[in-house]
Amino acid sequence: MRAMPDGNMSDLVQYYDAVRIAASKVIDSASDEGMDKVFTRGSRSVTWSWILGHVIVEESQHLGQVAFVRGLFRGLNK
Amino acid sequence: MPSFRDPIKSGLNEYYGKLKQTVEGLTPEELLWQPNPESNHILWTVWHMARVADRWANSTVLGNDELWIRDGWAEKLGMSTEKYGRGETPEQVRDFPSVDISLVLEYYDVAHASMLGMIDALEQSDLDRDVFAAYRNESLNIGWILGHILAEESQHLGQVAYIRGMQRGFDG
Repeated sequence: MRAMPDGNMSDLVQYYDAVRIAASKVIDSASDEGMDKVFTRGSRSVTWSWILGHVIVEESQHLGQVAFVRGLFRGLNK
Repeated sequence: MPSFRDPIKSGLNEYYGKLKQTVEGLTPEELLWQPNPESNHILWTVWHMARVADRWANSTVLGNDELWIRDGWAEKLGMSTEKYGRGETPEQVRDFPSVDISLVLEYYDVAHASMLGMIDALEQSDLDRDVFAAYRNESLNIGWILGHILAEESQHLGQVAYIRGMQRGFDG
């Protein structure tokens, strides 16, 4: 982690914006019937339903950490 | 069965299961440790997460009394019936009573169960309906609320895990 290159934050956000748009398109194209569809990556198989809940939970945990680290530097609500 | 129920319940159970693992084995001192004077500690954060679950499910969406009041959890934990955590000062967090985490988790268990019950009680058409959140003085869409609960609770879980990591080290 420490060895991660000092990237440009705005490039990173641009990448995230593009990923977010792509993810929204996938969600818009999904149907109710596809909720139990199984996706496999490596040795792990999960349903579309699980992925939808998990993405919110995982990303939000990291957001909570980002906000926490900011708070450690800047103080409460700064 | 409406298709929104499974992903929401899966997310609710995921963060809740992970929270249980994250607080496992922590001492009372570790639960109350603050990395700086303005930081929340783990015990306060877990208690607030339970209050969030109870309020959204029982009060705001279902329009019933909170379990905090109805089932006497405020009294059991020695806190006021109004105490919720939103906007509390660093002093209030610091002076939070050193209650037993297992009692907080007992309250959270019933609040979490009521949240799962709320999801089962909602139909697809309810997602477009608005409810009035008195403590925020605003009307909110139920569909928005379901996404928000996952996002809000998971943010707090991330913070709990971070504070644990600061004390115990990576994966400690």
